[in-house]
Parts: sequence; structure tokens; C-alpha cells
Amino acid sequence: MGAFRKWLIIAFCSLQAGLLIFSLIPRSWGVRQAIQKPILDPWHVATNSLEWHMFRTIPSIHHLEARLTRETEALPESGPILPGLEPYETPRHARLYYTVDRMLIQGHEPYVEAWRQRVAEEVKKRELDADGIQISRDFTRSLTWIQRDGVVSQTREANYPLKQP
Amino acid sequence: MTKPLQGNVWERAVHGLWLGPADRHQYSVVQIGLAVVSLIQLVVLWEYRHMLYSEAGFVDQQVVIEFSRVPYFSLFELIESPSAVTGYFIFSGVCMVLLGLGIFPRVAAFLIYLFFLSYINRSPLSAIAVDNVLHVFSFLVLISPIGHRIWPGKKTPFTAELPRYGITLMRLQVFIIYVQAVINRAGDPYWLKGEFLTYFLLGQHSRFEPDLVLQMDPLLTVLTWLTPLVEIAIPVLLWIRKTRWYGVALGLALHLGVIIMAHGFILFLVVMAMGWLAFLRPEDLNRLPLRNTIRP
Repeated sequence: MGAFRKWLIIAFCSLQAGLLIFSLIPRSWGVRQAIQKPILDPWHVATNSLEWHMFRTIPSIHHLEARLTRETEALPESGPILPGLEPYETPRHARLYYTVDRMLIQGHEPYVEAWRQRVAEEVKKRELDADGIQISRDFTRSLTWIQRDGVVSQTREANYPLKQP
Repeated sequence: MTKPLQGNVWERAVHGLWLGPADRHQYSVVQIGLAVVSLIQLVVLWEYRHMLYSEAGFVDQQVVIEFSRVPYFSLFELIESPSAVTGYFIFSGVCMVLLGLGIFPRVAAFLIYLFFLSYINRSPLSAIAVDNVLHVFSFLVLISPIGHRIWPGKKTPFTAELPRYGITLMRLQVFIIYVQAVINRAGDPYWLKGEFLTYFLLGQHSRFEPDLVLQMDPLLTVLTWLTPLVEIAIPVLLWIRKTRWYGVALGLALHLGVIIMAHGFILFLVVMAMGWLAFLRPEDLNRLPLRNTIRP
């Protein structure tokens, strides 16, 4: 191995190791914020090596359903999953759970807008009698309240009327 | 192998850390492990390929581009139709087989890296830890020495040693995955109060009825407090030669525990176990049939 290649490997690996160790510094610290956008963000997107958040947020959803509806009543054999207006099934569609749940985070409205636009187009094409997407989330209540009255969750429904294309 | 540098203690230490000798088969097992686990992941994603990654699905690419923190890159910008996405999935599956067999391994590793990068960027809201671990390991295999190569490339002696930088980076990565996850939860009131697992098992992944979960609350509190200690212990035990099998046992206990309690975490165990392969020592590999079957 040539000297140049040796030093290239040493430099690259030291940099990668340095960034990995640096990633342990909390995001709120000034030193981290200074290099987050210009260095850490692009490097993380390229390598996915720097951010690990497994089980960080408290699981607040006891159950989630996504339905295609007519006057808020679920259609029996169709759903809002594209292509094909497939029904959303749990636990079969585990990965869609994350997608739908994260679409509902504040600030992610454009995802939902684009989704309902596409569903509206598909509904019109298939001449289905549907007028909305309903996402029903059963939020887990606090342990104190559950232990008091035994009611585990509280349902909140969000209805998104289908825009006619 | 490379000769040690003439220099001071620091120079020799840095040189030894990255360019000291590693057994070629240490790279082979990770290469094969990545290929196999990537194929499993491809099969799991097959059902979602049109829903999440094609223009016919329900995740709009233009919205994803608008939300991207950095300039957007995904091959799904070019591969949009459902049939093209299916073709790309099949092509990526072939690359995974080629990597496992050691045929054009560097090219195959690069194309697998592009596949993970592309699908994570195309549908970031559906990306989970399993995707991220596979992506970073495809990057690490790409930049590491190739463990075995059937064709093409110059032949390496069967007993050849390779520089250890790839193995060292993989081990460090596994360490960071576990430790950073723990640090990121530090100060979280649910973890501090020991309530996390109870809430987790009242969530939608749980295999248990809520009544049973509530009865188990004291046990789950203790397990919540133990979990970060176990997560930090796993990479430390794996890294120390004498305790590496205790690390494997503890890792299995942690991940099997999650699988027993909740749906949807089997692949997480498989992917993390792929990462543990980087901690195998040459003496472990001597016991595997691999030693006699993989030839340069």
C-alpha cells in the first residue's frame, strides 16, 4: 500500500470516527449547532451514520386506522392506500403506520394535501362513492387515569374531505 | 500487510488503529451478512414498493423534495413508474446476490448503497432504524477492503491479511447506535419514571392485552430502568475479546425480549446481529465452515 493511500485512509477514518463521537454531543450545545447544518446534516443524509433515536419518543398511539369514507362512514372494501385504493390493514401494513402517523405531525400538512389530492383523482377515475379520508387515532391516556378508570385510550378522528380534481 | 510507521507513540497508535492487520474473513462475514439481510429487507419492502416509492403511491415526491434538509438525491427521481420501480427492486436484489457471492463486490456494494440511500430519501416518513442501519453498513462495506472476491480482480493469497479500518469503523458504528440512542433519551421523564415500557406495551405494537400490561407495571418499570444499562453494555462487551459472547447473549436477550413483547421487531434483531458480525475474531471464524469454503 502506497504512502498516499495510507494517509488517505487514516485521514478519512479519523474524520468519520471524529464525526461519530461528535454526534454524541447534545443538539442544544452551541458547538454542535455550529456545524450541524453545513457538515453533519449532509453527511448524515449521505451515510445515515450520525442520528439514532430508537425508542426516544413515548408511544402515544394505542391504535391507528385510515379509512376511505362516505359521509364519515367507512367504505367496506376500499381504503386510502395507493395505488389501487387498498384498505389500510393492521398489523399487516406496519410500515404505513409510521408514514401515516408522521404525516399528521404539525408542519407536515403538504404530505396530507398531496395524498388526498391523489386519492380524489383515483376515486373519480374509479367512480367510487367516497368523499373523504378519515384517520382515527386512539391515543393512550396517562397511566394515572388508566389505573383509575380502566379506559386505555381516547379516540380522535380527523376527516379530510376529498378535493375534486 | 502494511509496515508499522516509524514515528512517535501517537502516530504508531493511529496507524495501528486503522491499518493494523485484520483477518480477510472478518470482512467476508460482514459482506455476506449485509447481502443476506439486505435481501430479507428487500422481500419485506416488496409489498410497499409501489405505495411508498412510485409515482402511483401516496407519498408525493415533490413534497418530499420541499421538505429535504439538504439537496435531494434519490434514483426514484428517475425511476418513477410502478413497473420501473419493480425492475429497480429486482436489479437491486441481483446486486445483493452478487455481493454475497463476491462477484463484482465493490460495484455491487455501491449499487446497494445507492438503493438504500434512494428509498430512504424518497419516503423519509416511512424510514425506520432498520433502514438506517442497513444504509450505514452498505456505506461501510463499500469503503472497506473486500473480504472475498470470486471474479474479477487480482487473486489474494488465502491467508492474506487486510487493513482493519473497515472493521474498526463498523464496531464504532455499532457502539454509537446503542450509546447515542441511550443519550438521546437522557432526561426523558417517561424513561426516568420507568414508565416507557408500560406505555410501549399499551401501544399498537403490543402483543399483550392492556389488563395484563397494567398488572406487569412494576416489572416493566424495573425493565425500563435496566434497558439503557443493557444497551450500553452490549457494544462494550462485544468489543472486549474475552466478553464478546456475553455481548452477543445480552444483545439476543434484549432484542428477543422486544420481539416477545411486540410485533414488528424481528428484522431489527436480524439487522443488529449483522452489525455484531464485525466483532467476530479470527479464532471465531476458524470454527465456521466459511473458513474452508470462501476462496479468493
